[in-house]
This record gives sequence, structure tokens and C-alpha cells, in this order.
Amino acid sequence: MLDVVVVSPARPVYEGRAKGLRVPSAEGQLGIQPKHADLVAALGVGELKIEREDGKTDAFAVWGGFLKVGGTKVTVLVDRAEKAAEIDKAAVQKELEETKKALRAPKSDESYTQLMEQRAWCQSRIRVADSRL
Amino acid sequence: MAEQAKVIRKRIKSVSSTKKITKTMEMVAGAKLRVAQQRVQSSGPYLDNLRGLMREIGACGVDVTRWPHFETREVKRSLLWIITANRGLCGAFNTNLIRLGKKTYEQKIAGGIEVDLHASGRKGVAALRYQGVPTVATYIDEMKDRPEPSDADFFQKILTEPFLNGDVDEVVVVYPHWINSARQPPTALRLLPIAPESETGGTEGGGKQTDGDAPGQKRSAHGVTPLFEPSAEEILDRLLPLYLRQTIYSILAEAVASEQFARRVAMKLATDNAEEMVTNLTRDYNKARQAQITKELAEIIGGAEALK
Repeated sequence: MLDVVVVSPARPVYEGRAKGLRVPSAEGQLGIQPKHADLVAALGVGELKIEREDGKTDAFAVWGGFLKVGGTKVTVLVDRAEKAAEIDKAAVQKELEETKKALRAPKSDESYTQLMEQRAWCQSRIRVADSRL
Repeated sequence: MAEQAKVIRKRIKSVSSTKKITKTMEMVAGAKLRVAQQRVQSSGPYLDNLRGLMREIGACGVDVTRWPHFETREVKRSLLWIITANRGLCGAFNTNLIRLGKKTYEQKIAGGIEVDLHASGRKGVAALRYQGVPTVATYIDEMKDRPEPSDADFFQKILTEPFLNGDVDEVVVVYPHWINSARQPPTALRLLPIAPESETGGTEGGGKQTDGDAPGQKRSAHGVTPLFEPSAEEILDRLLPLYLRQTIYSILAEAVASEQFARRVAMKLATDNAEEMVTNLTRDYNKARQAQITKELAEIIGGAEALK
């Protein structure tokens, strides 16, 4: 079993025991199971999925931050986190459309990277909102 | 005598209505305080964890001095950020902050250091202007009643850029440091350069939070370093801005909570004071009324006696 703590800048998001979790690291999906080697990783944009002790899964859309694994203690520091109940799907859909529109004519390389992250953030929020069903 | 009773009655009325106002303000401040306190508490774990990560990276033999954030230079120019409230009626809260801010400022000037003074909060801005202390920038609307982490972005840019460009050699913040709900002393905190020892608690009061990170440290001491992905350097690159932002966010949150606390205390005192005044005035009023009755009685009796 893992002891998982998820905190965002504004508040603690999740705390509990878990069988395992999946996090979007900066370089791709990472799966953490018990007895994982100690690790510190930077996070990207995507879905954080925590498989709870009772077998149910909690999903969050997350953006940025870090993951720290030390023994059985897993700490996830996220810059932003939203769970399904907090996501206004219609608003996100609209945001996604606007981001896509802006992506067709990005002003600079920098804004392109930003927009790509923005798009991924919208998409992962929509996926999390859908996964509730 | 009838005049005097009337005057006292008027004063009682005015004091009671003031009391009603201060009582309301006390309750409003109390409600805001609860929310603000919650915000301070929930911003803590993130900051403590970031600090723990930084410590771990430092313990793994990464030379942190390569990052300009840690660079200690001879201080020729200093950026001083003084935080006060936008509103008054909170006792000595603003005065104490301004006093510490001005003291810090004068010490630096006396030491031959040039100071770029940034002032936040309407009260501080006004006081510094009145005292003739020059400020390079003032922020009033940027100080939110309900700060969000994103509000700290603005200040992070303003505070860190001059340091990283080499325009200033240190960044110091004067703010009310929320230790607990009984103590929020005005504190001067050196934000930049980041002192390697401040990562281990000390001035920031993170000491009690180190328990959770102790196992990590022990392992590092045993020579088992964690894996870093992508690399310790890259993680530190991403971590430093977040660390600064979160520090600033918690400063903003602490300032708001301390202000509400100071206001609640001040309004409680004012309410108690008004209460006491009403009691005393009522006593005076009764005395005056009694004196008037006695006087009238004496007159009637005197008149009746005279008719005999």
C-alpha cells in the first residue's frame, strides 16, 4: 500500500492509502506501484489517477508540479488540479475551441508551446469530466 | 438639570450606535478571518513539500550555487517590499508594519545601500508619502482581499526580475508573519537570494513540518539517492519559480489573515469600550434624572410650604 498525498498551491487535494497511481510526468505517463524506487519527477499536463484501497479510482486533471516517491510515501505537488465534480464541461469545451483557433496562427514559438499545453489541459479536463459516468 | 439629562441621553444614543457598528465590524472581521486562516493553513503543505524537495536535491550533491537565485552578492542595492493593509480600523497593525519597514529602510540607507522601496496597501503608501520616504512603486488594487495563487505571479515577476538581472542584490519583504492565531509579528524576510539554510526551516517556521521529510533525508545520508526525472537540475529549474511564487502567495495570505485578526481584536476592544461608556453614561443619566426629580419635589414642597 502507498500513502498518497496530493497538494496544490491553494489547498490539499487528496490524502489517503492507495494501491497504485498513474501520473503524467513531463516525459510521459508514469505508473507507481508499491516498492517503487525512490523518485523525484517533474509533471506535465494530463490525468492523475489514484487507485484507492477499495478498488475505486479517483481521477484529477492536473497541470505541472512534481512527484516524489520515498518508500511507501508518495507526494504529488500539482500546480493545478481539478476533479470531475469541479469541471464545467461546457466552459472547458469552449475554451478548447478557442485554444484550437489560436493554435492555427500562433504568434511565437513560446505562445505555441503555451497553447499546446493549454489544449492538453482542456482535453484532460474533458476526459476527467467524462470518466465520472 | 433637564438640559444635562438630555445631553447625556443623546450621548448614550450615539455611543450605542457606534457600538453597533464596531460589533458588526468585529463579526465581519471574524468571519473573514476564518476564511483567511484556512487559506494560510492550506497553503502551508505545498510550500513545505517544495522546500523538502529542494533540500533533497541539495542533499544529492547538486551544486545549487549554480542557480542565480542562490547567488549571494555584496549588497549595493536592495529591493524592499513593505506590505500593509488597504484599510484601517485595525489597531496598530499598519503602524507596526510601517515602523519596521521604515527602520529596515533607514538601516540600509545608513549602511550605504541604495533601496528600491515598493509599498503595498493604501495605508502604507499614504504613510510613507507623508513621512517623505520615496517609493519606486506602489500597489493598492493588486492587494486582494482573497488572494489566489495566481495573484502571486504579478509580484513574483516584479520581485525576482530585478534580482536575476543584477539590478538589485537582495529582495526583502516586510510583512505580518502569521505564526499562530495569537502572534503575527511584523517580520522582515529575505526572499532573495534564497539562503541554503532557510530550506531547513529556521526563519520561515517550517521547522515543525520537517518530520514528514525526515525519512527522505536519512536515506540520502545513507547514500541512496532517489532517481530524478528528467534530471535534478531540470527539476530545480522548474521548482525555483514555483517555490518563490508559493512563498509570495503565503505572504499575501498571511497578510490578509493578520489584518483581519488585528481588526477583529481592535473592534472587540472598541465594542467593549463602548459598552463601558454606555454603562457609565447611563449611571450619570440616572443621577441627573434623580437630581432633577429631587429638585422638582423640593420646589413643589417649597411652594406648598410658602402657601401655608
